Amino acid sequence: MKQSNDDGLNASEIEWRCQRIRKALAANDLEALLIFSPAWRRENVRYLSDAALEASAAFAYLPSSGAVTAFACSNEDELSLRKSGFVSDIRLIDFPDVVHIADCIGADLRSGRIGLAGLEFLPQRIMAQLQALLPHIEFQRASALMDSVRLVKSDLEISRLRAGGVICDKSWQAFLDACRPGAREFEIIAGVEARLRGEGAEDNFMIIASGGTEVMGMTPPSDRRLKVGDLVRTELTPQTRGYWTQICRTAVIGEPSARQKESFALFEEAVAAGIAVIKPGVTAHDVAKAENDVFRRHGYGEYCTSEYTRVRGHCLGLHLDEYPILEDESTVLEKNSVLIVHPNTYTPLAGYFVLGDPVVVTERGAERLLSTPRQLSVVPV
Amino acid sequence: MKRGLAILNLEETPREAFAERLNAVRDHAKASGAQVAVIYADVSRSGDINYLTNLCLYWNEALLAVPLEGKPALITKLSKRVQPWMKTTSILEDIRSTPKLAEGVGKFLDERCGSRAAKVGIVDMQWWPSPLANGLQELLPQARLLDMPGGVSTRRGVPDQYELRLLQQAASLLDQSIEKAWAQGADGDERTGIAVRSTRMAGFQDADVRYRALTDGSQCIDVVGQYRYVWVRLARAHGGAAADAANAALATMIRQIRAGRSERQIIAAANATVDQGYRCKFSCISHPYVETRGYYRPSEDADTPLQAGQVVCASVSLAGEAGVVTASDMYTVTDDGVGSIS
Repeated sequence: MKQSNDDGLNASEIEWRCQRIRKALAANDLEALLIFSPAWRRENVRYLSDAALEASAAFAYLPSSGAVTAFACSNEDELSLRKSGFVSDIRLIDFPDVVHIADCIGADLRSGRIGLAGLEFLPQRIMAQLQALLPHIEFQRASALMDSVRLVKSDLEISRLRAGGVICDKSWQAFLDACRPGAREFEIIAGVEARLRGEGAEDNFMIIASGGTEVMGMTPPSDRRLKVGDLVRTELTPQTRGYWTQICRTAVIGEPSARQKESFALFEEAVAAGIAVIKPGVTAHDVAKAENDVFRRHGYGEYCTSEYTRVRGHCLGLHLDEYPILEDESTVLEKNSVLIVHPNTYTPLAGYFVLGDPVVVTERGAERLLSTPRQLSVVPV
Repeated sequence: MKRGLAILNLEETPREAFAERLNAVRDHAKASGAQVAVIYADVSRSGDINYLTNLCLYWNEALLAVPLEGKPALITKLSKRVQPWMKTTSILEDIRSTPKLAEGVGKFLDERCGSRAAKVGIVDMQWWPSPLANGLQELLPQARLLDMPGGVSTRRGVPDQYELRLLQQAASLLDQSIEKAWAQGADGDERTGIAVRSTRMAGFQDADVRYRALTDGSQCIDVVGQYRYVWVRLARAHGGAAADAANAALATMIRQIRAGRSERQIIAAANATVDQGYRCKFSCISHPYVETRGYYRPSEDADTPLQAGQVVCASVSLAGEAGVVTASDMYTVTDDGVGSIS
């Protein structure tokens, strides 16, 4: 195993993560952990392997004692796992045949309760194989357990999220550079994608919406051309060494109208209010309420409901949409949790509006991960 | 990720083509004894629903319920707020947002079949998430769940004229993007950026671009991309012994492809000729499975003889001391070999 790499990954980081998981397993009366990661939910295998994988499935096993075993489904993933240096026991499997995984578990435990993170995505044929090969093992859902383990970040994780913040700043600039009257939505995204990949981002999640007060939400891009007076909203989420950081901004093509300015002022006040309450021990409820109270105070409280908005922010990390920030969520944000505060919603002022910053929870309060100012960016015509 | 152009272009694929595809699912359901076929999708494997309705499932999970009579319904975890967009970019009229997919199926059966004691065809049941399949059975104890393996993908193997045209267009655009990246990029990051930009500008909805450099000087650009509702994969390798070996292995495999042979037979014949210095992984998959690089397909697929007119993706991955290199291309299967589609 490599002792360290260029951004400070070392044996103590691996040990810290395994200890956090083992503590959570013990609290749930579980003896070991099997992780299944489909292509769109890599976070838990990544947590234990630190490898960027590309096959449509990946597995990892944390035994009752000892080191992690990672299971690769392709030559490319096996190489990626070896290069990451996080796991030394790497085995190539012929997916969907999971007999080698069952052998690994069987060598560790003859019977007992095992957590299975990603069980909700595990195909029936894989589950049936595991149950047939390991009749005395009881598999329990463990995705929520892993969500809680990943909530608090290490210094290494925060440094990667910070690096993602730098790419967010550059990508937002690329977004503004691509916005002009006549540009089509998908062309803007092409420019941003090229820029952020060139900056070293592994991937990106991004949705967009252009137009006026008729816009109720963001989606993948269309071939609509930007017009003078449009608001162009985006949620831009580059992935840097596994970690997703996000920037939420809105630009206006040409000079903003009075109502567009009023909309920005409302959202800026809400973001600032959400960020202001953040400190270790605050709950998702507290942050969402601080944001929503601003809307209520200005007479826009009805636009904080699920009819107009999804969440008032969410935690960030190896999954791009970790714990939601909502008034009915009691998640406690501990020191070194990372979240984005974004009260994105529709109002009649200017249609759907997007504004938000990612922050890390510190003893001194929220620390921003971006340097891009929160402002209604004007694209000169 | 699906963050590229998402549009419904009825000149490329008319409504009648979508109607015919849905009718084929109904025929399959009827032959299986089912009153309704239900197809599962998540963002990483939603090609069948995309093909049937043009819907871009850009995040999360969904089910498509196709009754023998009447319009299909999408039951999705995407929010109600994006339903207008989903309707604009697909042929769907009935979209139901719910965090509980199994319950959504129950309500659909109540409304459309008049009872939950229905025969429900589960397309590719073995690949459904286990808790969802079990939850559906628990929620609908009166219903009879019938497996419909390959309920959509089997027919798609030989594409209709609209899908074939898109496959040809997609392969050609992707080929140009990769060529541009080789010609204009100075290093891996630049080549990746160029390939990403040109595929997105060409209208690709998804484009997973991977650049690899090996210690023997070999390099490859491997792109799996989605254009409209079709998926293509091209990987071009150059510059070193491993790249040469991968290209030679791919050429060897391609010579084995023809109608009547199965993937397993093709791979066995190709394997026998490969340089033993590498660990080699071949695949020759029907184009609907390109989306998941062939990982999610019916278990019998590897032994099913290819048909003339089928579009396949042939790939070779070679792992050796120098690293891993991939070569991949798309072909139309003929009675005596293959034809290039790009």
